[in-house]
Amino acid sequence: MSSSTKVRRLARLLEQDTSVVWAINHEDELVFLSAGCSNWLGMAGETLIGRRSKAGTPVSDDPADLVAASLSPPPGLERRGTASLRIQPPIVAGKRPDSKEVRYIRVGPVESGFTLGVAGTFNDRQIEPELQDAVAIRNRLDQWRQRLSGLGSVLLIGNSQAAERLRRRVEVASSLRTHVGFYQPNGGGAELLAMHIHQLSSSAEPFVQVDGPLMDAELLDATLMPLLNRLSDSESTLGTIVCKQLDETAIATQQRLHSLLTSFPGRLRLLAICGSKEEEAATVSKHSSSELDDQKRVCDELEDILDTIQIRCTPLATRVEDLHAIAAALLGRYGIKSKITAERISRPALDALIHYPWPNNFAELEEAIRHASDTATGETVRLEDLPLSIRSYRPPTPQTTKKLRSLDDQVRNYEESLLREAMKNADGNRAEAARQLGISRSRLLRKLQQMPIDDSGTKGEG
Amino acid sequence: MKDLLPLPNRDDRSLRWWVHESGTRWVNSVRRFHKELLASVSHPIIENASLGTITRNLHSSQPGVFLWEINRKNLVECVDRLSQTLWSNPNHLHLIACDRLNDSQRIALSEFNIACFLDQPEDMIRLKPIFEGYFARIG
Repeated sequence: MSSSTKVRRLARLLEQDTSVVWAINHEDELVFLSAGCSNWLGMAGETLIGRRSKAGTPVSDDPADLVAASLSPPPGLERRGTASLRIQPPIVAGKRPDSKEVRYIRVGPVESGFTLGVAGTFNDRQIEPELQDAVAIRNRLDQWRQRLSGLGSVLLIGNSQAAERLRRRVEVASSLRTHVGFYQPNGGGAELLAMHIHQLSSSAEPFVQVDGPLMDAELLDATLMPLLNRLSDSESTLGTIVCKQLDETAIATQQRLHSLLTSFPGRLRLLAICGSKEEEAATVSKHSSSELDDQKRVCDELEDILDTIQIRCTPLATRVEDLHAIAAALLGRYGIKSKITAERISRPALDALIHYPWPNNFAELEEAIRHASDTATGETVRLEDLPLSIRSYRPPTPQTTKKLRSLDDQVRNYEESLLREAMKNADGNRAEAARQLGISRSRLLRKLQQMPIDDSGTKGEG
Repeated sequence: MKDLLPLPNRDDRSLRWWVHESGTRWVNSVRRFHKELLASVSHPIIENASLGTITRNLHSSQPGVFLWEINRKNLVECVDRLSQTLWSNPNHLHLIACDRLNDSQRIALSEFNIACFLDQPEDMIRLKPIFEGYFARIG
């Protein structure tokens, strides 16, 4: 067995005035105090030797016992082996010593070892700048998520059947971690609901927002790359993609998205936002299926996985009975900086909100309330505080309502009238008509074939 | 035959770029690639914008692109302004030029509505479909 080196050199260092060190044996008695330690405590070290220094044990009124007890390590040091504590020794001879940061180290086995207490200034608790930044970013992300999620929860307010249905669906989607398809009219607030569900179901996991229509497959890969790297690095990592306007996303991009989802089954989740199915159905009735294919479509593979849970946001105009509550909740959020309280929406302003058809749904209401909150000077939102488009809106009387035809229909009609006129001018000569219109003859023929037969039983051939 | 109605002229489009960066690398890149990305925009306004300028333009209704050069040092500050900008006007396009950001930092930034991350100026060529989609959306 080898012996230790001479202790004299260490003793010399410990004897310096600046070293504040003490030792406690395995029986919790002070066995050593450096000169610096005695100076700090304002009490001779010899007075303290042999006194009990264990946290949580009864102590007499003897000042030396009180001082010895104040040097005791925190409970659990045997298990952890090291501990940090700020120590404030008791007043001795009318003088209160400074408090000091102390590190305790357990040396040797519990039954025969000892504890070393070292007081000083330590920087090991200072966080690395990079870690500090990560914490700051995390805090900001949390704030951002909570802000959006809070707005999403406003959408669930109300007593209407639609609100009730929406709440139930969101509750189910939040209790499971699975793919969710959102179907919403313009500005329906599905992005906020997606954030709300993400916060409730898996707030700790990262998510990436993808603006579907702006992406091709390559850009999608580039956008998702950091998340995919992380998923590849660790089997336990989870991630969520929030894809906006999935139905307006290129099919190749959708297929790429599907292949990524299948590469990380159960770990990569998709919250996809699409146009409302009602709108889609209306479009189907007007146009041929091939035309629709070119406009809005979710590829079959993604449609299958989004069938798991579907959440439909109904147009705000159909939730008239919820409007007051939703507007009040929004005002509660935006009215904080002004004096307005959530309940203070004047009746004329509320009437205007009820009459307005909300073509851009929740997004428009949110914008209107934000505007009102900024504009209002008193404690109540008045009619004049609402945006002009809302306060000046008058519902049309049903008799005079003229339904506007779609842009496509109007363009088609206009084109047909031009074709008819050209055919008439050319006395039915198609080649001449094509020349006049500056198009090829075959193109003219194709267009004429697509034209409906008019009252005279012709297709504009004069 | 009647005269055809004139089609709307799309050549009078304008687009404002707010480029937040410490040097001129990305402003020069925008100038270099703007025409290839946005042939239909005849009046680009490219501005090297401080955070103060960005704050002043938060509510601008003009179509606009924010290009943020983000590095480890300005990450927190830029995230603050980015979230503020997105909250005030979600209709602008946001691009991030990454200067040595790690995956965690990129994932954090992905939570905001970022159209694309750029590492090098030549990556700007990839933005063409993004701009086409953006203009199709804003009309």
